[in-house]
Amino acid sequence: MTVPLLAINQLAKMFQLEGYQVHAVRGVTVDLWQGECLAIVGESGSGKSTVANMILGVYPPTSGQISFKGQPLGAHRTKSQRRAIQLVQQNPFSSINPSRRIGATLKLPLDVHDIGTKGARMTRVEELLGEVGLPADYATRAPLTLSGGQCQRVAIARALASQPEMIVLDEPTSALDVLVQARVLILLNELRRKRNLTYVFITHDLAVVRNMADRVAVLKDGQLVELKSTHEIFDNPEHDYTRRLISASPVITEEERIMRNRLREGLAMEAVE
Amino acid sequence: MKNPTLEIIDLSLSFKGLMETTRVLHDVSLTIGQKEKVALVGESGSGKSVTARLVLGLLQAQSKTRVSGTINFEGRDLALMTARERRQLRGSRMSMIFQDPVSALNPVYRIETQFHEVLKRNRPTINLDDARGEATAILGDVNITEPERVLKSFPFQLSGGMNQRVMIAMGLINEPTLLIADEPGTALDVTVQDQTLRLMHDMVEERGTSVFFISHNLGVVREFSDRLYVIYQGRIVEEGKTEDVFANPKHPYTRALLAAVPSITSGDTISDAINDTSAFLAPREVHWDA
Repeated sequence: MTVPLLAINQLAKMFQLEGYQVHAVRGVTVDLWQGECLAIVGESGSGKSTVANMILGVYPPTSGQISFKGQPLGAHRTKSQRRAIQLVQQNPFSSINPSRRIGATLKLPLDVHDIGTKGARMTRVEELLGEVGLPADYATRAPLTLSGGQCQRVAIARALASQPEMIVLDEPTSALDVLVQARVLILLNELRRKRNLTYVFITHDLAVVRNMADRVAVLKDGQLVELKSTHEIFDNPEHDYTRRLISASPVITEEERIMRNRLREGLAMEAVE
Repeated sequence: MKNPTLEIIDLSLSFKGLMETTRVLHDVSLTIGQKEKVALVGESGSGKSVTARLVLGLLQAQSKTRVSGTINFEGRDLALMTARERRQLRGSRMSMIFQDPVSALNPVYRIETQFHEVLKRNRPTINLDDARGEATAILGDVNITEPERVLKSFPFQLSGGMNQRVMIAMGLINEPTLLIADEPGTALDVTVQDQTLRLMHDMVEERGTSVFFISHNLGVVREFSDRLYVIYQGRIVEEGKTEDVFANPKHPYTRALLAAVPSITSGDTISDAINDTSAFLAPREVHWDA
């Protein structure tokens, strides 16, 4: 494999507001390989959602390029490019049309991208529900009769409908309870393995990152401050900001507490020096 | 426990709907001693926020709600107090910190006006200048470096972390004996949440305030509480010293909760969680947003 699935090169975004400018992203370069899960972490305002929006083509970059399979993603994307990159958002209740039955929500991408014959599409919808662990008769239900976890499964099924190669997951579990979160994370891992999907996983939950990602990109003020394998970033975080992020995560086990305290001591020592 | 700050005895609550009655709390009993930090841990829909609302008296008994049981605050039965007496308690003897500071503060008043309002709870005659003085002092305690600027600001002009600190200061300015904190800081970034929680911890330690801490975040609960109660579907299923419960959780639900949290020191923890948690994931037919 010589060409990365997604190549982000010197990506920058500047928003022109009344009287001043905001440099949300300043020169981010990273390659994503087929089948990998890249986590993008950082505080709010660090630029992680802006990067995601540019990958999805919500708005164009101010400078820099994104290429998908060697082809540049321009202002006007081809249908197959749009189909190949999908999104799962944070809050399933606001990302799914509440007045549409689940079946209609899942059928829409099939219609838009003209997937399968018209007659076979409802069968495909039922298969999609099965893939995310929901019963086929949920196709006739309304979103508001579902729990948060079930609704997020529908959002995942909708992303899968167009048979994408890459899914941008923007805080997909932070609105869910812990028990439900664990289930949804397991589902996402299974789907990635089964369909060789590539994930861009945006989150501020470092514990989730450790359990999901192959590599981690740390963003601060729109710049990439550290990019490493998940294993390395937790065992040997180099940048102060990365260490601050990890040490701010709530801990449960004694092992986690020891690691956190070690990081905090290190940060305090450096502050004194 | 001698002279507890808050004592809840067999609290039950049900809501009457069109077709059926939903029992939300089943004989919930819990005690918070003086200067004690007690957490109530559970998922959304477990009944934890509703318990806090009952303590504050924000959920009045109506024709559609049935409440039974006793809530004693500093030895006095809240049910026997008049509405006026209860109103006087709120904001002075007991106060509350909410999940989202930006929506909990009033967007159309300056921070100083809101401090003034809170101080008038205890001293109806206090003027704005004196209120400003006291507010400046307590804002210094929550590490706000320019209290004058903050006092002149509206909530939307401040960052989330700054608003959260303002709210902690406001919650503590009347020296309450009980502080109720409902998921404080979950609307904030992890680093800011961590800072504000540590700050809140130091503030209540200094003042000897009892804390009723409501959260679904086990990591935060471990950091913050002395004792905890685990609530599941309106019932307390486990209680104990925080350290003991984390070291040796007895109820399967508590074990499931602990197993479900991804670990930050190991990368293959969630796949194991599936066995422990399955029993507690009854498919809920209707989603109730807490």
